[in-house]
Amino acid sequence: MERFTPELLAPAGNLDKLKTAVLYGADAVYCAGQDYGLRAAADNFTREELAIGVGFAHQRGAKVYVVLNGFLHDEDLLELPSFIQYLKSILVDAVIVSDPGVALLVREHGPIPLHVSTQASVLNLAGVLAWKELGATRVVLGREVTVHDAGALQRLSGVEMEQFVHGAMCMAYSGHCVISNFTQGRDSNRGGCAHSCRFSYDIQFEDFKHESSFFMSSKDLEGLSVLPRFVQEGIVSLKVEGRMKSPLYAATTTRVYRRALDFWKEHGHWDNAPWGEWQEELRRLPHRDATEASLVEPAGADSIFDEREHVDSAWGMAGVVLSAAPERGVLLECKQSFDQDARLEALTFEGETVTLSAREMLAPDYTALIRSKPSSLVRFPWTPGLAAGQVVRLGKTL
Amino acid sequence: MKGAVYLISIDELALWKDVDCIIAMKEFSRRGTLDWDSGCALAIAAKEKGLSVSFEWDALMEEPRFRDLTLKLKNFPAVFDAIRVRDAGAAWWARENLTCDIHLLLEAGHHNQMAIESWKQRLGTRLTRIALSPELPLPVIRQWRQQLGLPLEVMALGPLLLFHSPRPLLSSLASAPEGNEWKATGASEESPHKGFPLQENAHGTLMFHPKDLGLLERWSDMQTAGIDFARIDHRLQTSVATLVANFISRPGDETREALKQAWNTDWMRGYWDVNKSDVLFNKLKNQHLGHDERICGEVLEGKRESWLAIRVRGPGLTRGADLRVINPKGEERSLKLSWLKDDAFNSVESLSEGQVGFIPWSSGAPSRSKLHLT
Repeated sequence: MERFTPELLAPAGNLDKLKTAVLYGADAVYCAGQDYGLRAAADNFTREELAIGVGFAHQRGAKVYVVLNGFLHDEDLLELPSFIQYLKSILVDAVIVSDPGVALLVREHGPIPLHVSTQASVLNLAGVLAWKELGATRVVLGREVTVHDAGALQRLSGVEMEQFVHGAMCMAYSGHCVISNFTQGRDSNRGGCAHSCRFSYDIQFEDFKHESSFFMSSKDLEGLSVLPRFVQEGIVSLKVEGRMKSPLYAATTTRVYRRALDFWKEHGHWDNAPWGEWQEELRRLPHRDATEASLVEPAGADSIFDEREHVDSAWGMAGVVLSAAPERGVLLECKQSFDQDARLEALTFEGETVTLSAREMLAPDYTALIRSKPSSLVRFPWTPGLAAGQVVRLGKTL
Repeated sequence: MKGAVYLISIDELALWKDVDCIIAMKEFSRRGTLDWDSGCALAIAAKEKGLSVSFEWDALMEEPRFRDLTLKLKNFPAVFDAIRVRDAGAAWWARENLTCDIHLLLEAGHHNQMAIESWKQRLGTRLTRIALSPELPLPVIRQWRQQLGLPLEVMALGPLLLFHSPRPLLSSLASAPEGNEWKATGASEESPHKGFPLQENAHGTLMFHPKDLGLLERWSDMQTAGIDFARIDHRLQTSVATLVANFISRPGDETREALKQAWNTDWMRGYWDVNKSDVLFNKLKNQHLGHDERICGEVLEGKRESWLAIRVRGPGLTRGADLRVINPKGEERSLKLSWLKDDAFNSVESLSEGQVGFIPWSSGAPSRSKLHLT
């Protein structure tokens, strides 16, 4: 009998990131079309790209969930039925909604399995049952719910539970923050969030002033150490936040959580699991300190990230391997410049990272190259273990 | 149109005539100030005066607290005519466990009629009022009132809640962190607005707009639009209760101006006239790098007078094809594929979706330029 292992659900801000997440072992990805999602500034997917993405994922046994989680106005709904029918025709595995009106339309014009977005702030059993009546088969719980409570909600409701396991967090109850709407004229619940919670504020109390506080900024969620609880409670899906983030983020988070979940799947216990190694990998990404937020107990004041900048990391994104074969070598799409002394590591899909020698790099037409440029292509000699789609990271000089 | 106000104390009760009264208790309402007994006593007193009274449950709750508090609500006092709920779970629970009317507080989201319709279907005749989002402009509300067939409530005057976190965000900054409630104001150089009122209590941390939503000048518009209830939330300025009562009983320029003068916060109309909060979205993206379904490739890099490295999108590319190149500035150029090379720089006749290859160089075609078949 196969051991229960939660689904690993990764973000896909565009087609390239979808492929990255799937290749690194995501069981499912979530992505958005051009409208209806909450990341208006993200690349997002054309209809054609969605079809390609679904095909790519399905060929590799992964599922694709499409977010329709904006709080939409009447005029936004006019084109939605045809989009729902399109999603149905390309066999997306589910849609993620937060607006009951959108849920009704999905039921009417789908059907497509319906997941409830965390934007709906579902926090309790009655909330789950309310959405079950609307046809929801899964609820992405509010980030305020503990894993323990999520397990109980799943058992009592018969609805699948999904929880965030990693990434940036809203400090507010999701879907209940309208700072951007009323201070910047940008509807945060239709994709225009201006991240006012990350601003520095002077706080004037009655008797004194606290200057330059990032009091509304949350540390980033890191639920790695909570994985045993997720497994124990049978939480169906673990979601990584970050459709706007880099392919390095998509690759690293998917790779680490995949390995951790596979460890459980293989062993059935967590004894001798390399927690430190996994955590070190995750923290090589830029992040705002780490918190378990409310996964174990309600988040307190220690979950505030009272700084502006991300914690600097020792590694950045060098590029993505476009093609790799023994007879043709390796072609890398660079995201930033580096010279021949650069430390380059490819994040392999399986096994250890592989080092690339920058001293051997060439221009695409095989001419000599001393320094790469952002948005350029670079060739390397064939290196075993490399494959198209792998992300290469660049060690920073600290 | 009827006024709706929060009942704060027995002392104020004498002021109110023919208004709808809301009781906000600490445990259930995120800005509630009354304990259970005093809230119930106030409700009874209001009822004896012939006023209708509703119980506000607008706090969001995780399961443990939800479970505990619903045990208390199992003995829901009959004095309340309705329960006002925000959370979908609270609405569902009220339908299943209570017999009173349900007023839905749909102030977060619910900006389309289908969303309201979904609640109508599920709550049926128990749903007797909807408090609308302050993001809805009057023309929309007017249309909805005609089409929905449900009594509607809007906030006509009161603080505009922008942010609600369950986390305690002020107490750790306070000079004396002991206590149950903290108040402050926040200002950021990164925001065009200053003086955001802040409050932390048992329900978490709330932040309000520096100006209050003030629509009293549009009172007659509300009436003609068919709005049934106009809520005035004076809980942060109890000294103006008399002026609020005067305005509700005799709405007009004189009573409104008297209230406005005494109200200690400036007023704004918010989205009452129009909501264009999506117009900036297009500016967040480069329209020239749009998402045209006809794109057949994108430029990755170019070497002057030599080649363009591309990634193929869509149906693929064949040698000899005629292309249009559109760069990030929107400038267009024609390009004929007189040759085509694969990723190893070998000549080929075609490339398929996802492949990397090389084509003849074109001026004005930097990285991220799009290729279209003509």
